[in-house]
Amino acid sequence: MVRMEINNVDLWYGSFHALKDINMKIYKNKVTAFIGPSGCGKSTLIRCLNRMNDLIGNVKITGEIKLDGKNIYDKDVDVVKLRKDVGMVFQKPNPFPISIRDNISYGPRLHGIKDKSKLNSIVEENLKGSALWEEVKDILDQNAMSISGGQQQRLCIARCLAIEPEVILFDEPCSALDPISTGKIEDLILKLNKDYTIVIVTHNMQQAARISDYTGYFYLGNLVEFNKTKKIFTNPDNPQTENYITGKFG
Amino acid sequence: MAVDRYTKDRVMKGVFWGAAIITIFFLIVIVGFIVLKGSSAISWEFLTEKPLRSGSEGGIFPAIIGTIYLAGLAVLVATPIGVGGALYLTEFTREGKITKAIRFGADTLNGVPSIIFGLFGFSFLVFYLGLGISILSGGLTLAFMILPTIFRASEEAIRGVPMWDKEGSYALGATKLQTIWRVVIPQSISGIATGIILGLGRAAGETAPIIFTAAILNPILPTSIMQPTMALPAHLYTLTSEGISMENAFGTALVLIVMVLIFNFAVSIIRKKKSIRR
Amino acid sequence: MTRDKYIRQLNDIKRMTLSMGEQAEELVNMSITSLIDQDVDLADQVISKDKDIDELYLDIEKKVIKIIATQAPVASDLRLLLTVLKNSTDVERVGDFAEDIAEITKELKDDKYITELIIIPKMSEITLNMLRESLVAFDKEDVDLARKVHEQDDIVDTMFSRVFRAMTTFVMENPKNITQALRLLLVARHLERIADHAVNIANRTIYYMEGKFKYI
Repeated sequence: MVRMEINNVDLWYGSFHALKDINMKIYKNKVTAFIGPSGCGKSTLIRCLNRMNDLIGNVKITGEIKLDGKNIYDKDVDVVKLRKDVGMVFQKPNPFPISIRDNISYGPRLHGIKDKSKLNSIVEENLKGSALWEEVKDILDQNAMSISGGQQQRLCIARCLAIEPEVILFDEPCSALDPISTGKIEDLILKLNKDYTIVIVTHNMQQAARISDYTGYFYLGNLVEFNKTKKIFTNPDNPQTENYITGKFG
Repeated sequence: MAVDRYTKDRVMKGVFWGAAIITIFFLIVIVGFIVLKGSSAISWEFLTEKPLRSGSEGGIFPAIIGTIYLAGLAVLVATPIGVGGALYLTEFTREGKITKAIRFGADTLNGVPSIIFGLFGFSFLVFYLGLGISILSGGLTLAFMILPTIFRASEEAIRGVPMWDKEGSYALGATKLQTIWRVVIPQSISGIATGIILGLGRAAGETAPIIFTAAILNPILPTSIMQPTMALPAHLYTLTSEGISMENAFGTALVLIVMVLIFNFAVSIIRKKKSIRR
Repeated sequence: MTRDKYIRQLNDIKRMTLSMGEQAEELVNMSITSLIDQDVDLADQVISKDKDIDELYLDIEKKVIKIIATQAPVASDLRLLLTVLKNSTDVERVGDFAEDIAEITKELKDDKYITELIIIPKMSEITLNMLRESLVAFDKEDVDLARKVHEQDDIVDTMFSRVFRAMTTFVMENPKNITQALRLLLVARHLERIADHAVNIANRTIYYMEGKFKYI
């Protein structure tokens, strides 16, 4: 079942044509990975999915991106609600410099939840959901900056889960982390996959191969190939894809 | 004479050390001088009673109150404008000609001699707008003067809030206003507070802007902002230039300096507290 | 080109497999010759040379594991490694069959043949041709040639049936012929199995090139 559709999307940063006629589908409760060398457009595309590119000036987008059949770039779309439905976890863990508890309750508070006991149960539920509860349950009021990088990233994931998104976007979530933290987050993604639709941008091809169901290979703003991950990594259709994933350039 | 590198190093080290010592030395001398000369004037009456006989006797209470009113009003007016302007510049505009122009304007305003502020306040506020010699005129004049300080300090603090924190907030579905209120301001508050307090210190201590616009010799306690008032710097000026009482002049100076030192001390405490956090 | 060392490793291991195949080919040839000529010395040579093939096989297997562990191969590189591993297994079995045929030569050394060997040499010729073509197809990555190998397998199967009938007849004529007849039947059987392995090698080359499993 299709959750999001990307139809004929082009994007320009000023005069730079960053995305060229992208067409792909994001399937419900599956993990879709975007891979490709630096500057190929994969981060740009993922940031279109929750309209984070709106925050940068001088960006022009054509085409449509549909969430459950509705184009998210329509004039009457509430961007704030969109970002609640499509959450994002960033490359560099970015917890706010406030307590762990306040970090998680930030989102729900934005959307009007004030009741303390409800907020507390949201905090517990989502910390459990991101496999961090056991490690921080006794230090919830400590500043979030005092925990390790891997824990901070799981905190950011919990914070994202607290707003009850349907789709979660991961923009290179493990590139700043050590292998063990990376492993924990990959396991978490596989666990979350049952209930959420996930899109992940990654530099690490083995990671894409390990955890994704579908993979899109991007190069210089083009979507070169999009297919089931199994196919891409055993028998890709496009020789360009083959060269990239086997590491042979030049 | 061939001088080797190490000797040169040591000589320069000595020169810099000397420069630092001289700087501190002057600070100590000035403060010490005033403490020495003024401490004899300090007493409970000095701080709580009105001046008598043109200030050669009695206290400086009205001047203290007046300074508080004037500086207070200045900060009250300048803070929303300064912080608001800084927020506008960082959050609602893109870096370009306009932002550079605004910043340049603020910096230039900062460099305008305080006597010119006084003249402006006198002709525009006192006469043209008919506000008369009053706390309002004086306070507004001081506000214009400290506006750049608050503006620039706020702008730097707000600009210092990292993009990824703001992005994180937006990605959770926050509006721009919510992000400003819940992320930007809390994280820049110490920088903003620093600016406000520095502005406060300046407003309390400047003489030229207030002698034409608010200050009088009459030791009344003002009951409305349309009334004029005494103020510490002006009182100091009068006591000295009219030769009324050097002792009391130094006493006044001491009070003023203590005020400024307290403000600066508060700033450094805030700065220290902030650097522990991140 | 990036990953020079890795590309060289892949090329090396392909060459090793082909060289192993050539050696096995030669061994089969020698073993059949030794059978026809009843040449025990030649048979002994075959038996000892088979050990070289076994060692080569282990070497290839070790190298494949090393490449998989250290280079994380995907797509056609991964298919190549699987093909190499499987093909070398097939070739190693061919070498073993050659050795078995040589053993039979030695067992029959004092016997006079009940019949002139005609079908067996023919079978061997076709089988060796299939083996050679399957290896060339792997080397040149020629899918069409690989498909041709399969066609010849039916001929080999038919020839095996003829040997079977012939041996049955000989035994019925004279029960004392049974040991020789059975041994000669075994030789034909070994050749038929060698032909099967050649078909396996050809099929896997098609998988390597096209990425699809198809056992035709």
